[in-house]
Amino acid sequence: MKKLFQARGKRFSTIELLLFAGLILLNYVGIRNHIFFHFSAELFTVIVSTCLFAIVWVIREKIDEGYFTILAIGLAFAAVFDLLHNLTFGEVRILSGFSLDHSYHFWIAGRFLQGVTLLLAPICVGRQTNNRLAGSAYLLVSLIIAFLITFNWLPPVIDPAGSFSNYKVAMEILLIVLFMLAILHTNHKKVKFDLKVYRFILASLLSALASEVFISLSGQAHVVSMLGLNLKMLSYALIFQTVLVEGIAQPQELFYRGLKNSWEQLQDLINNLSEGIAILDQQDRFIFNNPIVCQILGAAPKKITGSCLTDYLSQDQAQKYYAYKQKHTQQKTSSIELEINSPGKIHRTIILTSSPRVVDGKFSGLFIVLGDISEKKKMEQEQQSLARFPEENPNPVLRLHQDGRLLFANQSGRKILKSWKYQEKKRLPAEIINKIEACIKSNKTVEFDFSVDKLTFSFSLTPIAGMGYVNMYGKDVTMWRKAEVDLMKYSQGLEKLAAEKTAQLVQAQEKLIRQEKLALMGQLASGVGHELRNPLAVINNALYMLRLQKNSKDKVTREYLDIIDQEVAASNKIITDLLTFARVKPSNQSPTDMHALLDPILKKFPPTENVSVKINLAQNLPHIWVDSQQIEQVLANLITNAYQAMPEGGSIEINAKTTGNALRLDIKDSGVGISPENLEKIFEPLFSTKTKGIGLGLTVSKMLTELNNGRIKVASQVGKGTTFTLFLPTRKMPVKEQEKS
Amino acid sequence: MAKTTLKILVVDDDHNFANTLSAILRSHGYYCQAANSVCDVQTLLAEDHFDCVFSDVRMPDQNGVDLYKLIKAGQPHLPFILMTAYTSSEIIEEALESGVLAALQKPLDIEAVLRFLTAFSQNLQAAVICQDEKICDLVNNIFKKEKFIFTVFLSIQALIQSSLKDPAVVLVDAHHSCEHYSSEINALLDFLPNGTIVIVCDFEKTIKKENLRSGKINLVVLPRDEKCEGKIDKLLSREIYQYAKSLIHE
Repeated sequence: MKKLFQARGKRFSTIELLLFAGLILLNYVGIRNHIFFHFSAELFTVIVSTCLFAIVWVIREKIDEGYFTILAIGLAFAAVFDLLHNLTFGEVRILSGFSLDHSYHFWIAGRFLQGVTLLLAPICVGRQTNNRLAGSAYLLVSLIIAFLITFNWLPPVIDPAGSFSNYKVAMEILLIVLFMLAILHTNHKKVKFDLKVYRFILASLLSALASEVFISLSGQAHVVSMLGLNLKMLSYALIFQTVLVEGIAQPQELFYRGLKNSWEQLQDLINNLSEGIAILDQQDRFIFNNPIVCQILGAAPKKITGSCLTDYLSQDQAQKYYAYKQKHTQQKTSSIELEINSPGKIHRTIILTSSPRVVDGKFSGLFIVLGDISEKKKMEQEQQSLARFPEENPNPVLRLHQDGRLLFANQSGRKILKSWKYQEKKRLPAEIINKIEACIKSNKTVEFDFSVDKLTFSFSLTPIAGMGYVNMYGKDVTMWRKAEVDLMKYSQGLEKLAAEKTAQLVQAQEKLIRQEKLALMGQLASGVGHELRNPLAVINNALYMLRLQKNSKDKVTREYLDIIDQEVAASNKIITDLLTFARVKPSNQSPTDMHALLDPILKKFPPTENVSVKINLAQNLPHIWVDSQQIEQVLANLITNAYQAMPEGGSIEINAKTTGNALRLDIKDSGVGISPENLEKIFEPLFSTKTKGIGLGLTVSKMLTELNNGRIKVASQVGKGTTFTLFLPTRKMPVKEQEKS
Repeated sequence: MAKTTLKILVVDDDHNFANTLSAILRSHGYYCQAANSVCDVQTLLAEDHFDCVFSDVRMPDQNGVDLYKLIKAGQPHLPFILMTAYTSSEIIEEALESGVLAALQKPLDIEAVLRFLTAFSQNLQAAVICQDEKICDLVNNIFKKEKFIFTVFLSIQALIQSSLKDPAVVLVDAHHSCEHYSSEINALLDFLPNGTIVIVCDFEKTIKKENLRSGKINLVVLPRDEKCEGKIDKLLSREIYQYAKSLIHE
């Protein structure tokens, strides 16, 4: 039927062709047998109405269009009267006790209910209806009508003459008006209808109106009545089509499609969620899960259903889960972090969010959402680690807003803030604020020193572009600064030291040059000295020979021979000093008697004229550990010097006494003395106040004395005399290396 | 005490020095020869025997030390004295170690030189303990040549009891009547702690049987054979050398 309207020009479906064929066959039979046709037509409408009602009533809960339910209910009750009409009409008389008049009454009642229903139904378009109330109302009206008809309380339809009464005519007019009102009412509610439904309804209403008109006009005319019945069937068929196909089946189809679509979307969503979603029963077994759950838990997709959540957890994690479950999950949605260590896979951290699943008011498991937060966790840890980084810095790290507010301070930084009394004052020291401003303004790192509680910090302020704050890094440089100051002092001291050293160096260099000169001179002198000794030796020999001659016995000759002798000795002494100075022999120390040392010297260098020598040596003096030749040379020098210091005569006094491990020997003369400024220089080589000599005697004496582990001292007063004091060891001492000053 | 005239050799390339020193020594009664080079010395040594040599160090061609080495080869115990203008030098140190008696510094202390020579002129005392007169004569001849004064004793005991003081050498002829004399020799060692004791015996083995105190460096045992005379001669030369050495350092 649907296709008749909807798909004109298209081929009809088999069922439609069969229905057509049935209709033509029914009309064909109806022309010959009116009663059969009437019966069949009425039965058709009854069946259609009953089916409609049956279907609608079964699915009434799912129908949200009140129009259809009212229509189904109303037509069902109309069908009851139609059935009564059919069973009592004409020759059928299946129900005994009812006359043809009853039959017409039933027919009018059926049409009345039909008309009222069609008139009232548009009120319920787009509304939910109270089906029980509607049903009850229809039942009550139907019972009243049935009662009225059964007990003949209504005017008769057929007058005794056998023709239709005025009542019937009036009722028929009423019915036509009713249908017309229904059409108008439906048309009035047109906007509320689906266009297709509206068209069907309108067609059905027009058919019903036409059917009513034809049947009313037909009187006893058979063909007209047939046409009216055909239209009535059409009207019911259209209603059926409208309600079941357009109003119920198609929306149901649409609904189902929508549902399916939604389900597919939902499934798509669930399957493609990054979180795992699952339903667990009371024993934590998986009832439902999306594929991500398998991925997260490392479970085989086919085996997960029915397996237990704790199967995928280590023992301690399972314990943790149980504890959590006991504490939280039955009441509300909550979360727990769990560690998954599936073998051969990377370690994961998951977050499990659960909420209780309640079925029929009973706890029956959990809805769980599983999220893999390994990455997040890792990032969190990294972030935390990163966040701790400045905190762990032993140096102060601060972040300061450009307006001077503190944004961050690490532990060391907080200490500094404490000493700045930041908490109390709510502001940083003015100097720091100025620095921040300067830093922001210049957009360059500013470095400065700042003292905090006796400590000096070196701060650097780094502006962070566009962030409106500066980072302040500090370092305790107290020791550094102190060291710098010390270094500065030291470097100043160093300059002084360098000057001193330079002076010393210059001196040393001068000394070196002098020594070089001396060494060169020494070489030359020693060469000359050696060569001079040979002629001296010959002179000495010759002199000795002269003394042996007979004519040398006279006084004058002897006197002059003595003079030559003395001068030879003096010359030799000069040479000896020179050679000693040029090359000092290592001292060959042995215990030496002072008496034995002095006597030959005095013999070799007898006192000059008017000079007396007084030797005050005790007999039991200890031996001295010296090289006798060297010390003899020293003593000879000192004694001859004393002679020379007394050109006008005088006395020499030699005293000795032991002091500790040394023998002290004083050689005191009553000569001219030495001036203080010269006293300092007398031991220097080539220094001499005398016209005789080259100034090596005392230098060599000092060298030799020291070489023999002794000391030489001098004290002098000009005009009164000089005393040389020797300290010579009385014990064996380590032999000194030769050193030349 | 008997005195032998010493024969002295003076070597110096400086003629004046050599001549003046020679003159001084001659004037003091010594036989003295002057040489001016090592070459001259070799000629003189070939002709004559000298008791003592005084030599300069620095000379052309060969120096004094070279000369000493040359002389030492033939006469290891000839007293040899160097004279030098230098205070010291390595070659002199070396020469002193190898046996040169002394290195005297020029100008010479002539008195000291004369003192040494006077002392060195003295003959040394020697004792011979012997019963065989022939041997005594032989020994005496050697000793005379070497300027020793020898006294013959018949026994060690006799020597110890005699008035002879500190003989430099005691020569014992072990061909002695007594079989065992070790106790006597030990007594002699006590009597003569510094002198050299020479024992001449027939068999060296014999002396080994004797219980002599060992460790005495001045005890020499010689077997009586042909070389014996030469060995004794050397020993005596060494004795003279030692004597000179002790004198020069006084």
